[in-house]
Amino acid sequence: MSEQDQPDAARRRSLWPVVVVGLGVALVVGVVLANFAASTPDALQRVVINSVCRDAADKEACLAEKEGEPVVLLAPEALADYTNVALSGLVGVAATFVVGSGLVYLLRLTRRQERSR
Amino acid sequence: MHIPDGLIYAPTAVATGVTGAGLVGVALRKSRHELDDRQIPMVGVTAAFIFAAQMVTFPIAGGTSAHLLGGALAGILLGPWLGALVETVVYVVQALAFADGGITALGANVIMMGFLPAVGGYYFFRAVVGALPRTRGAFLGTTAVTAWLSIVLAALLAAVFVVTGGPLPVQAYPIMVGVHMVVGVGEAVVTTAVVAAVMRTRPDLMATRDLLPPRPTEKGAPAT
Repeated sequence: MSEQDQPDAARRRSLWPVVVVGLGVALVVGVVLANFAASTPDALQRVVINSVCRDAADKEACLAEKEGEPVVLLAPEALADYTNVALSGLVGVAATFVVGSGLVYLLRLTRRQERSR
Repeated sequence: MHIPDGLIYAPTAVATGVTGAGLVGVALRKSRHELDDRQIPMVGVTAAFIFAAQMVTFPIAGGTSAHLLGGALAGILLGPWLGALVETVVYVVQALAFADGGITALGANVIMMGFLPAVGGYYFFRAVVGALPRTRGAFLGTTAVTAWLSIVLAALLAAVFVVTGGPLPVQAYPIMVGVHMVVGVGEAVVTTAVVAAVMRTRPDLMATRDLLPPRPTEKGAPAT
C-alpha cells in the first residue's frame, strides 16, 4: 500500500490527493488561521473614515461627533459579517467548493448534450 | 477592498452590474469550450482556498488591514476565464451569505477583483513569461510581479468606482493605490508560494504549463 507501489503516471493523474490537500489547506486557513485575522479597517474603509474627518486634528473625536452621518455608517457596514469565524470558514469553504465545482460540472454537461445532438 | 452597498451611485451599480453579468456570460462560454474534466474539482478547490484566504486579513502600516485577492493566482493556475469564474463564485458567496461586499456592488467587485486580476493578470503573465528565458526564476518572478500589479490596478479601479462613480473624495486615489502598493507585496508572496508549490507537485494541472521551464535533470544548475 505504499506510495511507491503505484506507477508514477497513475499517481500523477489522480486528482484525489489535490482535492484532499487543497480542501484541507483551505479549512485550516478558513477555520483556524482566520481567527487571528486583523480587525482594523481595510483601505477602502480607511478612505471612508478619512474622507469625513480629513482635516480634523483629533480624528477619533471627529468621528464620534459625526456619528450617524450616512458616509460614516458605511464604514462599519463594510466590515464583513463573519461573527462566528470558524463556522463561517467551514460554511464558506464548503459553499465555494460545491458552487464552483457544480458550476463547471453543469457547463461540462451542457457541452456534452450539445455534442450528442 | 470589497465595495459595500452605498459606496457607488445607482447608475454605477447598474452599469457595473450589467457589464459584470456580460463578462460572466463570456467567461462561461469561453470556459465551456476549454474545460476538461480534471478541472472540475480544481475550480472548487481553488475557490474554497481563495475564500478561506480572503478571511485572513493581515495588518498594514497606518491602522489598515488587507487580505489576499487571489485573482492573479486563479488566472495563472486555471486560465483567464475559469480563474475569473472562481473569483465570481467567491464574491457571490461572500455577498449573499456573509454580507461581505454589497449586493448592488457585486458587479463592480467582480469586475475589479475578479476579471481584472484573473483575465488581465493571465494575459500580462503570458506576454512577459513568453518573452523571458524559460527558467524557474523568470516564471516565479513574473508571478510575483503579476500578483503585485493586479492588486495595485484593482485598487485604482476601485477608486475610480467610488470616486467617479460614487460619493468619495479624490483623496481615495492616493490612499487606495498607496496602501495597495504595500498590500500587493503580501499578495505577491502568497501567490508565488502557491504557484511554486503547484508547479513542483502538479504542474500538469496548470493552465500555464506550456510556459513552464523544462524539468531540471540535476540540482544546482547555474542561473543564466
